[in-house]
Amino acid sequence: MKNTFKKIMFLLFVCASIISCKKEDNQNNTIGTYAESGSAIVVNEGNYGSNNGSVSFVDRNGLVTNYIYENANSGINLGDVIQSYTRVGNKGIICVNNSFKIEIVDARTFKHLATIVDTTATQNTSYVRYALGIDDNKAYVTNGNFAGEVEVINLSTNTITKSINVGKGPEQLVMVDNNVYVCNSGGFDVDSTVSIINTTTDVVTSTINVGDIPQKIVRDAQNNVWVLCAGQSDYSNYPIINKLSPSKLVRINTTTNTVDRSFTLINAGAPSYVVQLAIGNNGRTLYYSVSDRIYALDITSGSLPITALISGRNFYGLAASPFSNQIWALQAPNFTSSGYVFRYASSGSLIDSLKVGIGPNGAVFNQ
Amino acid sequence: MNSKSFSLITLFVLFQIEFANTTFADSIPVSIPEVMIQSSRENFYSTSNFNYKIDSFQTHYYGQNSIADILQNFTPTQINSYGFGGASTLRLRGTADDQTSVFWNGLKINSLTLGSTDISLIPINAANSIQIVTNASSAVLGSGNFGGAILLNNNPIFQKAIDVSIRQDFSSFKNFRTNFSLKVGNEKVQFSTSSFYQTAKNNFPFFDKYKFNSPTVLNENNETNQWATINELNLKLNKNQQLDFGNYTLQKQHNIPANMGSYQVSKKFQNDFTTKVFIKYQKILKHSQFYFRSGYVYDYMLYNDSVNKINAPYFIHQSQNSANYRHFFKYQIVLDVGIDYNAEIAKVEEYKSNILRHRAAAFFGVKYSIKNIVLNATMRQEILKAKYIRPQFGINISYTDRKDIFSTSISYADKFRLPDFNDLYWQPGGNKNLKPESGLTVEYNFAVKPIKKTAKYQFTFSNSIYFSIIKNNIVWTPIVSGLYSPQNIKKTRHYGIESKLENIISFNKTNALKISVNYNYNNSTIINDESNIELNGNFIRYKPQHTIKSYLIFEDKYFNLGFNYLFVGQRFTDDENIKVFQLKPYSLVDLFIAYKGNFKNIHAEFAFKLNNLFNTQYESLRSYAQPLRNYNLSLILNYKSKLK
Repeated sequence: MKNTFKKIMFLLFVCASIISCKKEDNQNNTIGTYAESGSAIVVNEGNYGSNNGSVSFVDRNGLVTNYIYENANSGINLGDVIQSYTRVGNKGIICVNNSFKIEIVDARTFKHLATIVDTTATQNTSYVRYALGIDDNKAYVTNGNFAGEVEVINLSTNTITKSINVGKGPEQLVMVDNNVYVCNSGGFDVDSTVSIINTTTDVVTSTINVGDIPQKIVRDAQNNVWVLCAGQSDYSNYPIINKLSPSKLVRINTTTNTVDRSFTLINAGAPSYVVQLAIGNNGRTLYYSVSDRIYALDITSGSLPITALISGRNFYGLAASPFSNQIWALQAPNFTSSGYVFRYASSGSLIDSLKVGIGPNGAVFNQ
Repeated sequence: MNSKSFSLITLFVLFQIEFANTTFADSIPVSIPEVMIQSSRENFYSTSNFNYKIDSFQTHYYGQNSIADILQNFTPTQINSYGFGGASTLRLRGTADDQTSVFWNGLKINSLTLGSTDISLIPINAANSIQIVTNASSAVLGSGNFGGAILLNNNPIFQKAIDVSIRQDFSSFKNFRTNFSLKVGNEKVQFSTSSFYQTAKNNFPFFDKYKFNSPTVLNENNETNQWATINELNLKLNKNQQLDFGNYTLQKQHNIPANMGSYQVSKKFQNDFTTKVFIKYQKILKHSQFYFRSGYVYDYMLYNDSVNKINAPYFIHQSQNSANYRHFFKYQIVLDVGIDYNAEIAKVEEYKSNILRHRAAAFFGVKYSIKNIVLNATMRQEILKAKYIRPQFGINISYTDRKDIFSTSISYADKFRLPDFNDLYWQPGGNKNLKPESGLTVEYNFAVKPIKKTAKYQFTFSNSIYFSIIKNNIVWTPIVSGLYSPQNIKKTRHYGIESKLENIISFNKTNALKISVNYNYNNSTIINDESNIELNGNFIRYKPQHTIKSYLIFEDKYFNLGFNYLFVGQRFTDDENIKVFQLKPYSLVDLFIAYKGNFKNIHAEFAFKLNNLFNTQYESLRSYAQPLRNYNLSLILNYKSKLK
């Protein structure tokens, strides 16, 4: 009897162990999912004021899982106007613009880790836009719709350790060696500069004039930086909207920190359209959009292409996959219904479209 | 609808049926007697056996803040609250804010810029009659009215008396309101004036579900200060002529709190100032009646967001004029001929230049009664520069049996809505080429009052079944330049049932019980969205399929007791009908008790009202915080006397 009891207990223990191991395995599978190499996170802004921004996960095979933050956090919504997502090691930084917060998640599970709020910020500088990982424990976040700051984040303590004053309305930023290049778009005003921050000292070392309203920035395979300047628009003759200043694509030579190449996308006085920028093909091809056309530009080219690679749709965001050489064009038909990711081959042919959350504005690929 | 709510509703309905099987003698209605119905065109042709009329008892206990509470609790109106103390708009039958019209003494008071009506800017004393016209047609009421119309009227009673009231309300969140009103007159002249001043901190705590662990957060920057004055002078010039003047003026300063989930305290505020003035003249001849009304509407609004450096004022002036001739022929035939003329001026910085628009309309109506059947047919031709709008028609046939036990009606109404000024002129984005929204509604109503023999017990069961189509819905949508611009891209369908069960049981001369249950089913869907055909068939956002509004009021010589139940079903908050963003259903229960006493001609009353008894956390609109349990205390002193 005693032995039988022991056997039963042993069997129960084995069963329990198997079950618990299985659970562990499942959890591990889940944990790795959202950070697996070759997958992507799509950022969906949501409708302003409605707290319905979200992030979507696209796996290597193109399968979409929407609302992954809500699924991982008992249905709590991520916030109002999700501007960007940045992965730094095993952490994800989500800039939630109109909730005035920086959400830190586990990049593998999207479980909430911390909420960072700039409590010392003035009214004008609580407007988070984009993040950039400096190392596994340090990140920069651009902040401000008028006066601009770059917040230095300690990812070990999830706190802001320093604010660096930059130009107005800082947007995207990239790092080359020990320098971070920050687009100063002007926010609700006008600016035309790029600030350069030394990541060792966290001090602005230089400011370069590039063109009106620099918004997008990418680093190419030669370690140079390309900046998309939207240019100012004139709405006074609406419905005719013309450019007051040109939309430009400029290159900053990061050795000399000077503009050494400049292409005009839309001339001053010409009709105004939305412009987007992404880099693909291992940093060798720039993709930019003007109105409903997407062009490909080799980084060594001396002139702009005449023929568009893709045309016929207006996009709200643009990205390029470092794995498949695909071009991902993000469409937000409106902000009260789902948006789409149109995936194109590098030749410009449409592969498929994926339904994501409301107002997709960008995609980030897991390395 | 969850099972708990369903059980509650079932119990309540059973409770009603139980009462319905009991008989009583001698009726004393809980409400005060209905006031005289004016013979304006809107009233004369907007009659239906399913109109809602709010009695003064309801306004007395539920109107301490604004007219919104009354409409929310006692009518099928859906109120969208942009935060407690802030703006509130209304919708009927699954339509949009700007598709329901609000009239004050015949003047349309919807915002010219937005099309909707901020009902927080309508003082509760501005009208002594509130009527919901469900089968409102554009033939009678002009632009708008897809969901219906709300008519707010002052109907004077000429009597030689004086009536003075002072009321002080103390509510949660440092909300204080002082009200004074005076009515004085005789059989020929009536004058009334009423004023209030309100100051409220409105800094209520709420659970912020958009933050991790739903912390309790104080709703900061939500202060409101407002005052209003309402005046009216009614003159009976002689036996056949009457002249009425009226106006109300309201000023409101309201700070706008941050949305839920925000980590920044808002610095936004909005100032409103509005004044409305009317003059009405009626002359009754031997077989005819002449009616003239002229009104002026002035709206000023300033929206300020210091963080984003926005300071946006607007000024609106409207002159609204209407003349109507009615002739009573033999054989119960009545014919109406009328004209309307409106001049509308908007000064809005974003319009780049001042806008002046003239509108006119011609109206024809005929009403024919034969035995128990009443037929009315109406037609209107809107006249607008460079925009043709086809004639609008409306027809209504109603039948009431001789004992008034059963009545039924069927109506058809053409509807149209002119684009709002923001849709047309806002820069960037405004689209001057927009077509008016257009559509139709078919409605069938019936009402049963099975027990009529005794006045002690009154029971009414009424039902309205409706079907509407709205074409060319105007939606702001992205265009090539990346900007938003309004386009006529949506077609929607709305149908549903509104049921109302009402019992009045009068126990004796001073004790009465009034029970009412109102259930509304609405199905509002997108039939065609030209910007995204995948949305076809989806529910329109913020339209609950099920709502229940119920109340129980017991009146005694010394006290009144009331119980209110409101159920609002789940609502999608986007056109995609995304489940993770839908708003959950909620139920609210309010209670009130009032103690009253009389000393000679002075009536004193002390009332206590408990709102949201079960501390329900809810959202009327996504991300706008609403208060948990809160209270209201009222002290009322009223002096009434007949004049010699």
